[in-house]
Amino acid sequence: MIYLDSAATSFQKPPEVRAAMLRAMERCASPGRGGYREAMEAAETVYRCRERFADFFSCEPEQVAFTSSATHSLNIAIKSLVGPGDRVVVSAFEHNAVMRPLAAVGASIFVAESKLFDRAGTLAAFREAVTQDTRAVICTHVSNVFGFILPLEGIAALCRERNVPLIVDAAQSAGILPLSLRELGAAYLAMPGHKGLYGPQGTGVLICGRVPERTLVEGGTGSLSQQLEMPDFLPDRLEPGTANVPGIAGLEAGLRFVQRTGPETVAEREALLVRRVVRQLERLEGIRIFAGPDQAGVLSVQFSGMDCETAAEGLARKGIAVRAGLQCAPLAHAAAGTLETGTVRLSTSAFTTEREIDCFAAAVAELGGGKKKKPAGCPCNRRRNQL
Amino acid sequence: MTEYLFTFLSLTRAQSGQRALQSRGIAADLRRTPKEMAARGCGYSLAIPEADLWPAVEILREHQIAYQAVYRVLEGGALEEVVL
Repeated sequence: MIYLDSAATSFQKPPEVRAAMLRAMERCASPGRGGYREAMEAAETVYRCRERFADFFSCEPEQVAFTSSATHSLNIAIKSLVGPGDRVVVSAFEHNAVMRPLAAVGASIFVAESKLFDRAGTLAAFREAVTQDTRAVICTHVSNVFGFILPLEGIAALCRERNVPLIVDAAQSAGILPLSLRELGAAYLAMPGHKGLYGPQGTGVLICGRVPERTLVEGGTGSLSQQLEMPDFLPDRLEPGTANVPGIAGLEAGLRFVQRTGPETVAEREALLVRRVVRQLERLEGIRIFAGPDQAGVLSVQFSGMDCETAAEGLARKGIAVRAGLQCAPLAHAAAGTLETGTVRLSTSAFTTEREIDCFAAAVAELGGGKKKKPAGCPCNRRRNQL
Repeated sequence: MTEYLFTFLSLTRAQSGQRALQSRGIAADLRRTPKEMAARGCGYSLAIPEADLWPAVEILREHQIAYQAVYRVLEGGALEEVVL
């Protein structure tokens, strides 16, 4: 299988992730619940991961809260800050993990409308939308549909200048693009553990620039056990219940892999792969490509005369895994004019190869692209034939 | 050897304290806090040898790692709070 759906989850993990999880399952009990060896080893495992995240995202270990997903992290951040009727400014490329919690709390949502791949226009839209009475700004760092890298540094500077808390959805950028809590001055950075950080599914992180006023879940933390209220300090305030120690162990190994490889190396490589496939798809007729200057390793395409689900199914039959539809981000599709049709999305990871990208382009050509030039055929097949 | 126990609000804070002390060569043992002192905190404390008491206090203050209280461990395991 050629896996090009890493924006959903990075299916291919470094071997050390699995090893770390297995080790944790064999050796770790529950952290913070005992003084025996297995509990202490669990505590050390969890703290090691906090330390690594603190180092990578420029914060203190106590500001690193473990969650089950980016969606979970965003829910904590949003529901701690936003109440009914509060004005919240969001980008035009937000995921439902942002929009649905905002709708659920009854926020007054203002979309900073801008065109796809227009960073200057996006910043200008935020400049106009963020008023003194804005309760929060929420911005995705990278569009999960189009790979558009939003001007986060500029938006963060604006929020600091106007004293408005910023929540960053780093679902597609954590582990790939530079992110510093200290430099951004954000209220929260929300991220999954299982995408660009190469941890297992079921892991997420919320980097906290402040102690949340409200909690999403309450329960035992191993601290201040005689009081009924949740502790007012981090990370205990956000981590009731038993920690996902094997998941956190795997996440620590995933981030270690990212640091060893170099996030800038991964980012550069993913961008190169996207440019490579764009060059090949541009030679085809009947393919609409959504490419731009500031693009991460995510690309959306449309097939002329074929709906996106049929196209993705055709690619799946050829052994290529992509995502079709609205990718849970109808707002982003509305901004790009693809709300009615959806797109086929390919997304890369550190494990994606040039040959896989070439196979995708060849498969698109065979499926309905109607190449202008005679198709060269799938390089994978060529190699198989040579062997 | 006389020991002192530093108690903390959270396990994570105790671990941060342990790392800060260890990085400066102080052996800080993370262990459960005796029950009578544990209710106000996380149930974990750092045990520090007497010779390292003041350097430990300085290092924790330098790193802005707040501890709750400091106890001297008496013979037989009884604890006596120390005001620093």
